[in-house]
Amino acid sequence: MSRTTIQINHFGVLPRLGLKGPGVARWLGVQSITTPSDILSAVPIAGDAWIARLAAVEYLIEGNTDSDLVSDLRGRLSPLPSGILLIPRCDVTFLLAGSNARSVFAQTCGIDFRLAQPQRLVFSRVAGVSCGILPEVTNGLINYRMWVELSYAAYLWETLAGIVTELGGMIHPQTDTCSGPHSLS
Amino acid sequence: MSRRLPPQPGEWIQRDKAVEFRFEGREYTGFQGDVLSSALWANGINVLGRSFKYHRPRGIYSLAGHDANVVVEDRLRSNLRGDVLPIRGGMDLRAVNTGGGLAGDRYRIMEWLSPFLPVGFYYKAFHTPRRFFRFYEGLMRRAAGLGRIHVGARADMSRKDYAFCDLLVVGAGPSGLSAAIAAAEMGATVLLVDDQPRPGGSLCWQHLDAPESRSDLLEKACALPNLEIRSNTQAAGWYADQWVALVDDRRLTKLRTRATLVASGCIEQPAVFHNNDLPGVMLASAAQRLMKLYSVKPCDRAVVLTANDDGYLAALDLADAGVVVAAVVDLRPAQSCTPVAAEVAAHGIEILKGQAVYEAVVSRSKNGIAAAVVCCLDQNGQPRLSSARRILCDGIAVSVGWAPNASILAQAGTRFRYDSQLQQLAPHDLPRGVFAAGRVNGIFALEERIADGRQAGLAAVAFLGHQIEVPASVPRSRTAHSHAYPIFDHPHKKNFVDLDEDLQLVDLLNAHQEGYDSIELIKRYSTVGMGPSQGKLSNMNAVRVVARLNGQSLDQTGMTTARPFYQPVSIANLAGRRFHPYRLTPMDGWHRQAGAVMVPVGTWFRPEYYATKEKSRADCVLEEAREVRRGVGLIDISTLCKFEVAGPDAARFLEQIYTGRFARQNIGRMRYALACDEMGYVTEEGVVARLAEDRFYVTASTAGGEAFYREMQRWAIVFHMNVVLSNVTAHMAAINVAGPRARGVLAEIAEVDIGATEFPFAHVRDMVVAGVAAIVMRVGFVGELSYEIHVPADKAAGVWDALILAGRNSGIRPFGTEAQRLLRLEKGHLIAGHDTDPLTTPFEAQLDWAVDMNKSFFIGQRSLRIHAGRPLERRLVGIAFAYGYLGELPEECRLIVNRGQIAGRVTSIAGRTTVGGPIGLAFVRPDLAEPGTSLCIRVDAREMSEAQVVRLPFYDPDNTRQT
Repeated sequence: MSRTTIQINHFGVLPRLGLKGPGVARWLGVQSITTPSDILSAVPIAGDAWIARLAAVEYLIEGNTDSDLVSDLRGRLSPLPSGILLIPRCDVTFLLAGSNARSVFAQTCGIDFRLAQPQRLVFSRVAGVSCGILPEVTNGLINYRMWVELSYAAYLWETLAGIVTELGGMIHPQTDTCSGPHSLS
Repeated sequence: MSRRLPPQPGEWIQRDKAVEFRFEGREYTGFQGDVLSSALWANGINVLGRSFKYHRPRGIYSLAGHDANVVVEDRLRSNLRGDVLPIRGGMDLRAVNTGGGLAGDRYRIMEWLSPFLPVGFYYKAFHTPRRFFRFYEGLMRRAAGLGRIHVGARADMSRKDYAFCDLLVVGAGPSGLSAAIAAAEMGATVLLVDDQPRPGGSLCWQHLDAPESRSDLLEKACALPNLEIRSNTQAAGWYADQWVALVDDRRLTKLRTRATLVASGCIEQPAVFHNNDLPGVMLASAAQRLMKLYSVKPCDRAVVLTANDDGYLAALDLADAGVVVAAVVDLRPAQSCTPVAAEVAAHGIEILKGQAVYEAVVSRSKNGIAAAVVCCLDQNGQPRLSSARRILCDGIAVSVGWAPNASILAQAGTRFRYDSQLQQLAPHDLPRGVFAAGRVNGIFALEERIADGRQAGLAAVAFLGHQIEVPASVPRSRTAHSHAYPIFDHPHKKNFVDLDEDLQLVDLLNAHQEGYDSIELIKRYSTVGMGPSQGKLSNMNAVRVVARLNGQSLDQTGMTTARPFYQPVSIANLAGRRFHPYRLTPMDGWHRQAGAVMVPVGTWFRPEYYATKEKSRADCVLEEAREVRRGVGLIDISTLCKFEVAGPDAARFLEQIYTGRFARQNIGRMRYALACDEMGYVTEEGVVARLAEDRFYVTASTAGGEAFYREMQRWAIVFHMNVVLSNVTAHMAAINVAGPRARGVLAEIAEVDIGATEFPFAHVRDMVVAGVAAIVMRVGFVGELSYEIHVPADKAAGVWDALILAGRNSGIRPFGTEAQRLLRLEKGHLIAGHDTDPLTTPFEAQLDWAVDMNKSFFIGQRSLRIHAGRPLERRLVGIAFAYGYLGELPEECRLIVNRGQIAGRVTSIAGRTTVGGPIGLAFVRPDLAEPGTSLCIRVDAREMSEAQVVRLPFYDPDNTRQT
């Protein structure tokens, strides 16, 4: 992809696991998963996945379609250990990429993304809808992983894809939002 | 006739690009770079508009968008300002506010009627006789306003952006450029905006003897990567916390800056004399803009009226352009000659000191001026008529003073003080993070303005936290650049203080005489400063008049409040791209393919009913409901709000949130939950299912659930409880399978035994349904055997498909919200927010059973104790119309009338039901609540209907169907 383009990708519902409670960090440690030290930060973990710390005792793990990490971890949570709550998470993931990606946020979000740091989570409203946004660095460029509730996904995709098109960017072909996750590659 | 001058250095027009356009039905040619006003003036057109009230001919006045003389419209857009409207090929423009065109405006008769239209006349007229009201209204609607709305036109969508910077600099003149450069050189991100097409400000049309200044400054500015310049961009409004609206022709930018520096200069002010509004009378700066930017000669023979050196500079510019300058009339009494005045004298131009233009003589064509009558001023500064002298001219250039272009500063909270040496308002007290530089700061000499800009820019950078040395402030000018009172009365009046509003000096005098003696009262009574230019050219003179009438200083008189917007902003810019989020359930695609008629429910889309060919909506709804009663139906209830409440204090938390008991609720049981606010009024209802000792699954209504969740979060903090709340509304979908065959259908795909004994009514189970982990509840909203299946949203479509397949032999069919509403009504189940209002107590709604007053505490308990001690004012009852009723049915919210008094209202109604005749729910006075009571219900203005109060529920009173 050219460094001057914008591209938005739709990955559908990727495998994810939401955990909350005082026992989560300890349990994850036992599973050899290092948790982020700061709240609202994320770190990559094995298998092309990553873990985000959403609050003091709340974590979110997202994998990709090729990895069994999330299903493995979920399997190890039965029965549920003490101090851990399973939080249902059904979000759709988009990826906004390219050197001009911020111009999409300029039209849809009141956050100054020039100040956003890689691996630091941002929660804000994008085009009027609550989103989580994780800036990531790939090949020297900052990309933005975005999550939105499944119910708003069609609207947000339509809106952002429209803006990307107006700005001359590319849209990764859209998939059925309910048909499951797509490969990150 | 062409007034076009030979090429001028720095002109903005491109002579190799001719532009053809139409104005008032005639074709004209201009150049790219021309604005409408300059192009028309170049073509010898004097009359560019008609004034608001008297329809007097008007021409160029400020040529900076500071007046509303030239306002036009095309086929799509209205109220375009000619001074700032670039001409484009193919434009077809007409002046607004005329009856039959500029030339033949039939409303110009209004000027003859002016003696009958004094200030505030509309407060005193048109109130009698009453039978003429409609006529007066029609008259005013036709006469009032400017422009027309073209209802068929669709404006191009205007974008909205967010932007951020360290320092916003408003005004790209010498001070603004200097300030922006100084700040950017120190590392600040700077956004420099100017409402003109090119940066440079007065360097473009006044200080052309210093071309290096403009080019040097621009070169430096463009070389700084952290300095962005936006031309054609106005700072429309300054809002709290340094939020500034920037508007250009393509977008509205919502800028968040850390500091604001205003270098927006000054607005040249008019003098007030007889016929000071006619074409040919213009501000000296307008004449200079005409000559320097657009290469157009303002007139052939000019008189310059001045009270400062700027007027003399304008005289020299006029002479250079080939205009015969008949005289420079200087309001100031004889004083030492400044170098520029000496230069004017050296040109052979007569200078008349201590004199004023008393009158502009209208030309024979009535479309311009033919002469200026000049008088000496007496010791009171008023014209001595005995000294009157007529000087032939077709143009009067006025340069009697300046007012700071301080709207943004004022909006930001700056306080101003009148500097009597400068004879101008100057910033006195700037708020934190707000800075001023240049003329707006009372500094006039070019080099000093540049220095002042630099100083302000560095001061802003220091404010932003940089450790730098800030130079000392540049002192304000000690020479007055404005005249204290350039206002002269005339027996024939037509000496305008406010050109926009056609307000004459006598109007202000009369208003004052009527008792409107403060500037705020005079403004509202006379409308001075309330026109499209918002007082840019009138406020200062109005304040001078009021101050003199009251015998006060200008500081004592004060100014009116500056509010956004600085210049007109189109509605299209304010609307911009609109975001209208909508939500879809996971089964949305299936519904639409099945022919569902979708209806918005808040931000969600839900199936209202499933359309069948050749069947009406009412038939479809009734059929769906009947199928649920007879067989089995399923409905997508994913929009229901769903929360998880977990933690050691979860049960105690729910006990305090809701009116019922939950602390001792068994695991696997489900209960109806009612919530009230602290006043004891019903706010929300749903169910609470206990999944584990410390874990509950709670539902709430689609419409009110999100707000209720926020209240739960707030109360969790207030109660200091160890409870975890999760809003899983969008993460969990829900399907309701209902009807006598529901069990059989679910049993096909459920991996546990769901027999009547194994899974009784009001229980909840974790189970696997169609291979998906689900929370299943036995509920009874529609009054039939019924299961709510809650699954992760991304798995819901598969479960729905499995239910359809499993129910095929049972005749399963989907039903929509309308059928659901009918079914629950038949069962007598109310909907909170529909059958209740914000002042409904549980007692009025017959929900006493859901309230346990013996609990130690719950929200609303105290108020409910008080309500319980008072007689009810109304009760929610069931109503039924006679079987076979054929009359018009009342709609929901229609009133119940008893002996001429309002006795209640209908909350729900259904005409066609599975139980027979029409039924409904209604609030009635308690004395009318007995079953069997007849009720008169208003249908419309003329018709009434009759119903009877009946016991609830209408359907299955023994509750055998759902349990």
